[in-house]
Amino acid sequence: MPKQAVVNKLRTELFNQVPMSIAVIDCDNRIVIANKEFEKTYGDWKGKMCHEAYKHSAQICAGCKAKKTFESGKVFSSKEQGYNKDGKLNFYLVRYFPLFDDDGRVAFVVEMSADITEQVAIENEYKLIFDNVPCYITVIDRDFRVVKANGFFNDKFSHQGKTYCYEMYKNGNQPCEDCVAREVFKTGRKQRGLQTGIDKDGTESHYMTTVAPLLFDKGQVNLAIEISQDISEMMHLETQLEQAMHEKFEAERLAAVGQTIAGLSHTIKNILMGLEGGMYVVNSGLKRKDDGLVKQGWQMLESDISRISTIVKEFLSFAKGTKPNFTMADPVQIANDVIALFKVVCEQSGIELKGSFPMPVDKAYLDPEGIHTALTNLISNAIDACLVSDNKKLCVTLFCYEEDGAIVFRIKDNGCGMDYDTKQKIFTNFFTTKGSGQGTGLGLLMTRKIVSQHRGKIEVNTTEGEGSEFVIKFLRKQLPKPAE
Amino acid sequence: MKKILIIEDEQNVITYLDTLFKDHGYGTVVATSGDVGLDLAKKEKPDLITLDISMPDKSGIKVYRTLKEDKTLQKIPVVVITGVTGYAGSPDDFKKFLSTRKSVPPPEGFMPKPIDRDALIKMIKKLI
Repeated sequence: MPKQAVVNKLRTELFNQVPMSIAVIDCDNRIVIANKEFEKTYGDWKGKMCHEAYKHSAQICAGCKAKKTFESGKVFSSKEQGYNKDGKLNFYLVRYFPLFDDDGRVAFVVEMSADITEQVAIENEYKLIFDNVPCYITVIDRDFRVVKANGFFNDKFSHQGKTYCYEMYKNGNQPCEDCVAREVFKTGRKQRGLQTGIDKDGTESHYMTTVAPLLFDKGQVNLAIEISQDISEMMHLETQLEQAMHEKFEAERLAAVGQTIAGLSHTIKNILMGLEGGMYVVNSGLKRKDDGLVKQGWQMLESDISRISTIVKEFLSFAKGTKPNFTMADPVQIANDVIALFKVVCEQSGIELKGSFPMPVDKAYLDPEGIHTALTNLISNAIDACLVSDNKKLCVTLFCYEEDGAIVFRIKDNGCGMDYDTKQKIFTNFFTTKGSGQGTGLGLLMTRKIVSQHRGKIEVNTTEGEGSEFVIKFLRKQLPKPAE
Repeated sequence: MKKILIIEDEQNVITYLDTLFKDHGYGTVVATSGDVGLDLAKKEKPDLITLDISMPDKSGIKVYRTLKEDKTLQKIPVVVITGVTGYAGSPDDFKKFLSTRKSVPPPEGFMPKPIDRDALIKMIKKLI
């Protein structure tokens, strides 16, 4: 085949095989020839005007670029939207170029159009998501300049004259010390961090930021995308919840104080009887000139006065709501201290006291004195339960370990245990089974209070005649934080 | 000399009652638990018993029932002295005790703590 024939053939083939619609129009906008791709997309073109075929419109388009090409002989481009042969909306990019006649006048204009319907749909979808996703999204360069931001971000943080991420998010004038993006630019790896910013109304705002590399160039991250989720609302709710819990605790405390006063008046009656008794015995001894009786009466007075003193002290410390003193403390150390405290008492009473600490427990933010008091109360109760029990081989064990993110103290005894009624009442003020003159009935109430100050839980398992077990659990993530 | 058996677990109350009764010319026997009280009641045949029904193990109720069911002891008048009886001293235990023990007659005397000395002595004088 001669070379010219090849060239001609190629032209025809190219015209039909190129994946673009090509139409040639005359100066009246009438299509004079079109390729197969055009026919496939827009259907039969013969005798149709350009705007009829592309846009199913009877009128020539406003600002028609083909017309401009006819007038100027120059090449133009435009982004258009029309309808395909099935009446479906489509988007296309058009390039208009002139075909000159021998006199140098524009005889025809060629319109080459590429279908971009799918890209436009994806782009729209992306834009819709980008602007409406309930996150702040910004794209920043290596100087922390915001090069792109979504609607959600602009509504909240964007103000005129601000260009840098730290200016917009935090009203700062230099990159943040805890900048999350810096690491991303350095390492090329995704990073996360909790941030506090100030929005354009001056309101503090908390958000969790994820920064990921967006554009690499020569092994270096040039652009990064910051996606921040606003958690201010959540933090606000958490504060409210804390407040509500605090109020609930306060209400419980007041209710407990009310009960305490009722209980106290009863206790006072008992003490009053003791004092009256003591006075009577002293007087009687004096009358009878019986020194022994006077001494006995005096001892009665002394013991009742010391009872008043104990009860008033405990009552005051309970009613006041003594402030816990939180510090980083070793739970096992506290448990060990308590064991040491009761060692001698237990030895003398024939009770075996064991500490079971199977693992080291990391330090935690606790009120060591409070925990000490709580454990002391529980161990002392366990010992009392053993003292009135007929069981052989009496034993009190204090366990301390960590399990499922919780620090656990477990106090187990094989003493007398409790019946149902007693178990129901143990955390009530002034409930005591220890007989008049012993126990104030405040110990377990104090213990429960200390546990709730640590946002922990206390549970009791007991079987009458077999023993009791008190379990205190402090979830690490629920313990008060040092900053609070 | 008439004899009173004091069944009471608290030493201070024992000393008080013991002194009070002796001052009024009664002889006393003391039991610090229910079981000892029942033994002494049989042995000593007292003319009157004061009974603390609210001892920690609540055995006072059992002691009272045993006393009133025992033919040789049931005639001995019993003065119940209540101690811990619920909040603010409401005599719940005592009421419960009365209502659930229909086969057993109510005690001859009842005295809430803190005791009224004169009323107690008056009550005892009336009973024996």
